[in-house]
Amino acid sequence: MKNLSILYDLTYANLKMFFRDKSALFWSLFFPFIIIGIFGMFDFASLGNSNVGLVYSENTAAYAEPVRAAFESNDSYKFFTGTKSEELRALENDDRVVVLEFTSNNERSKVDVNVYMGKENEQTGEIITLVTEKILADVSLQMMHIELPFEVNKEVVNTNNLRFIDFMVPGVIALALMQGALFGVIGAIVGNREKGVLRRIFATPLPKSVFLVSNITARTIISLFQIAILLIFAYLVFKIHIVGSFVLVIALSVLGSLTFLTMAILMSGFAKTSESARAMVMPVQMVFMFTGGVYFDRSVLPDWLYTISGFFPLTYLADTLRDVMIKGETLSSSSIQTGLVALIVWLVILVILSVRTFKWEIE
Amino acid sequence: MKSKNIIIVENLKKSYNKVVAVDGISFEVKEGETFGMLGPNGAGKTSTLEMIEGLRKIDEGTATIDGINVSRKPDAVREIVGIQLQSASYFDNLSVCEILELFGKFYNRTVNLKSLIEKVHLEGKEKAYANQLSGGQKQRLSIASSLVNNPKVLFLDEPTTGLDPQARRNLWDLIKDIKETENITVMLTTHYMEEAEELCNRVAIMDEGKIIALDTPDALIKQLLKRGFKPKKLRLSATLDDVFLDLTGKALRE
Repeated sequence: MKNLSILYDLTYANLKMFFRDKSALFWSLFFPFIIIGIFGMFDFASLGNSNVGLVYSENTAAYAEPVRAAFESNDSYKFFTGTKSEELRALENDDRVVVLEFTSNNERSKVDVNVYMGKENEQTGEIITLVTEKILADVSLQMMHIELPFEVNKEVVNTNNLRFIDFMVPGVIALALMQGALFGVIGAIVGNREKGVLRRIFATPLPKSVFLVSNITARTIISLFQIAILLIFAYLVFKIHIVGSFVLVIALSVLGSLTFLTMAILMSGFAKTSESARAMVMPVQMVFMFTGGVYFDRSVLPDWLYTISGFFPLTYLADTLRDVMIKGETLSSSSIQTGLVALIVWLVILVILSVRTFKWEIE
Repeated sequence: MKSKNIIIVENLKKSYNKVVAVDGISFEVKEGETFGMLGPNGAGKTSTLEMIEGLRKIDEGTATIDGINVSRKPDAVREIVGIQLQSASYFDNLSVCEILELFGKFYNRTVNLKSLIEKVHLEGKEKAYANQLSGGQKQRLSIASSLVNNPKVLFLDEPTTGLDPQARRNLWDLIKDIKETENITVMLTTHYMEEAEELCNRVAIMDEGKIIALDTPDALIKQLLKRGFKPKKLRLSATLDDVFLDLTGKALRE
């Protein structure tokens, strides 16, 4: 009971200190926004260019125009018309995926369609060729007034319709939790130890555990606050909505926060100065961040790195958060169970190690 | 003055990487007295103090405070002592009042803020953050924080190092005030002989980890004179310190 009341007061004091430190407040609250803001604006669909060049004359327009119209109804392709030499130059400069040339073959009173494509775009070129052939066949049949004996009906159904930003937000939440924990603890523990604040506290009867737990509690509250703002921002600006359980998102966030805080406390036991603590934290967070599937799917990693990074706490956190937030998975799903158990195992190991190695002062 | 020994130190030893810092010292501090530890840098004053306070592991020997063995029950000792550390620092972004209240909580006590702040003359600074205080004010906050648990023994490690003469004198008055109003034993270290003369009932002089003299300041001076000591130049009845204070005034600058 006695310790609980001290815990409450020290946690409250920690929160006050955090909210009064304007620059720390700014960076820890706005960093995730900057990331989400920037990545949210990226238009990744335009990354692989899908420009198609068209070369045709008046004589062949009757064939070229329907092709163009058919493709343009699909947002994926952009059409450019020009002379043959212009379009082929653009193709050489990688500004076009494919160039379609419609020429009238007077000898056989037919239209020739020449398809030019770069070697690296053969696949796209094949698709465009096939679609073009199909459209031209339709056009020809219509010209001959022949009715097809079948009809294909297309229907658009609602899918999750995932955008990059939907993939990003859970990852950024996981990242913000990790960074808040790692850098927050450096300030609160390593910085205060360096200044001699912890030595002064050590001279009082305050138990080590109460000190550590109050720091962890305060930091977790700050992280939840940060996530709340982040989710509101993502909802208002990018219309992100959580498909799965909100409570599960919070529970995972708390668990992730605790894991990273204890990891930070463990690391703080080996860092004499804030400088050395930062130097220690940077590579760890870089590796976790780039292999943890925060910014891109981990499937692009080489096999060995994919396997190793699968065990990182940030990976578990980002993956489970993503499963809940965009796939709507629940506690009954095995991937959520695996993630939860893995995070708890990490947490337990880190708690044991960090309590053992924590020092009020490093001589 | 009562003759009960509140601090008893026996054969205390400390070494760092085989370099001996404290080399088997023994002494007692009587309840209610102000006991000074003097000595050049590296003599082992701070190590001695920190071992007695329970902040540093004792390699050999024993220290007891009010009958409690420091190495066996460091937590019990912490409840009854107040510690002002050399160059201590406090949380940024917490006010004087908030820091003192928080320290009270560490002892599970509610602090009478008003009287404590009056005692250390920090009136008007209640809302100031620790990092906005002057050197002298910081030391007074430091002393206030070590008084939150009404300690039986107050440890002051170089309390006036780095302060200007006005602030130093102000702190001496403060320590004397505290001594008068509370039944408290003070053990301090200092580089300033004037400070020791002004505040201490008895002083121990340490050099190279050993106590080489221990007595009242007067007795130590008399012993020196008995050994035939002659000052190199004629002593005047005022010092440069007095000149400085006369010219700049006694008022605190902060």
